[in-house]
Amino acid sequence: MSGLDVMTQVLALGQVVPAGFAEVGLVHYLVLGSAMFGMGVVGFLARRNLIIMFLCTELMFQGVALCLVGFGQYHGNRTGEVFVIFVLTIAAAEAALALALVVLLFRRGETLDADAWRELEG
Amino acid sequence: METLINPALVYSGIVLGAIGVVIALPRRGVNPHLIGLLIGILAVGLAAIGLVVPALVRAGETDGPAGLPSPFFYVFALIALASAARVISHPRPVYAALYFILTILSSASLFIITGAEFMGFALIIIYAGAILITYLFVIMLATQAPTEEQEEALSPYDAQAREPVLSVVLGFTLIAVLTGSMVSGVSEPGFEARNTKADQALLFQMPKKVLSVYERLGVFPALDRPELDEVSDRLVVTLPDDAKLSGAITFGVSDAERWRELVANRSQIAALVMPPVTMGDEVVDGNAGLRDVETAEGVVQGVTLLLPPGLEVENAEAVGFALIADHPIALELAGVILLMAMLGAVVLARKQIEIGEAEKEAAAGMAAVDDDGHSGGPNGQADPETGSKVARGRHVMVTGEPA
Repeated sequence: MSGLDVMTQVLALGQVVPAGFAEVGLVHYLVLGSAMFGMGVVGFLARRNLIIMFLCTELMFQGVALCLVGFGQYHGNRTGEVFVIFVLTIAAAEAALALALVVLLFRRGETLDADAWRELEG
Repeated sequence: METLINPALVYSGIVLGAIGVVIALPRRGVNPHLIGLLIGILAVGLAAIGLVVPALVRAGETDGPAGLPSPFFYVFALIALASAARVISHPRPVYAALYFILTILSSASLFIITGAEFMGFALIIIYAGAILITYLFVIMLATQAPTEEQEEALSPYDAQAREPVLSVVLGFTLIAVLTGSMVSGVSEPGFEARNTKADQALLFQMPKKVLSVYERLGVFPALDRPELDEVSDRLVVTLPDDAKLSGAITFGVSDAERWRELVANRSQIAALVMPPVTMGDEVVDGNAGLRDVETAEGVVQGVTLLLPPGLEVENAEAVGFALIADHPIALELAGVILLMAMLGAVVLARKQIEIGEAEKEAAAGMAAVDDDGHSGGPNGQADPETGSKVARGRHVMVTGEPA
């Protein structure tokens, strides 16, 4: 018996679905992720405080991250998690810039109301 | 392709959730958070029933190992959704940020129970530890200090939502569209097995890890007491009985060279004699521990390595290989983006102060004095007016020195 045969046999035996995860699957993560994304959309549209609006974008990032990890587990590889790492990077960069802008706007206008900067819409 | 959830259940749950969020959003006057929260919990419960009951039915049909699906998913999903609802409905920004940390923690738990441990911990460290602290700092910086009489007063833009009904209709329509396409479009909703072939192939890249597992199993101490096989002129090492092997992988010539070097430093693993391994109803020659695989022409193609139990690719290792081996340019770009964001934040948040001409001159004079090594002296700071004059005089003197 050659080594290749050994390999294929053993690999076929080694594929065990972890107990307990057979039932909670991709759909659960996608539903939860999209619900979180939708919550973020609602908050971004409804709230008027600039800081809370940016918190709601972070909520949307969270929903997307949940979906990506779910997809990665569904396909059995780690690409989804790598995507989440980049999402985290962008979220950190966005938070730094957006919050600097918020501080700047607060110094100018002494308010965090998004409607106070209505003249920017042109 | 079966539908996983009854669509009527999904859509009624979404409508209920939308009503709950509309009620819970801040508004002027009476603010019935509690009623909104109750309706929201009802909606989530409806969706959970829709997800749990079919799973129970499926488990009953197939005589699956677990009667109940993993309860932790539902617990953490409930916490995540409830705290997300509080993030968008709490009138005070500090509490919204704290509820967002709760959302982060529960979704990190969801990552961990699905096997993505590295992402779970990275989420806690980066999001809850760094980004949210930045938010809290900015909330602290960008809030008027409360005066004595109106300590509990909310800002008008916090106390009242902008177009709550319209935005909830928009957001929950989006949720309905997304979930509606999801519940009908997936034929095999389960996750794949974690320890796949691709994962095991990563073990080729980690000879030290594999060797350390062999060490733990007592292979290398056994190598210190070898016996000479009379027939084949090779060293015979008898392994302990509990050193059973659970898998095998084969790798190419280039990898094999790396391994042979490593192994040569340790001992003659090429002569290792493994005990016979039982696989299914077949007994496999255990002497395949680490050996050349030859084709019919006798060409060495690679080496087969038997995998001892407990030798698995950890999640962090797999993510590391996926990140650095498969996406190196994206990683560099992420670093550049972070650097740019840092520069931008520094430029944006720098404090801009209006400085008069006299103060500018004073500042320039003081700087010149400092450059020369002389300190400003006591009278440089004692009186602003004379100090500026003194400084300017010294400044002239300093610039005149080279002439």
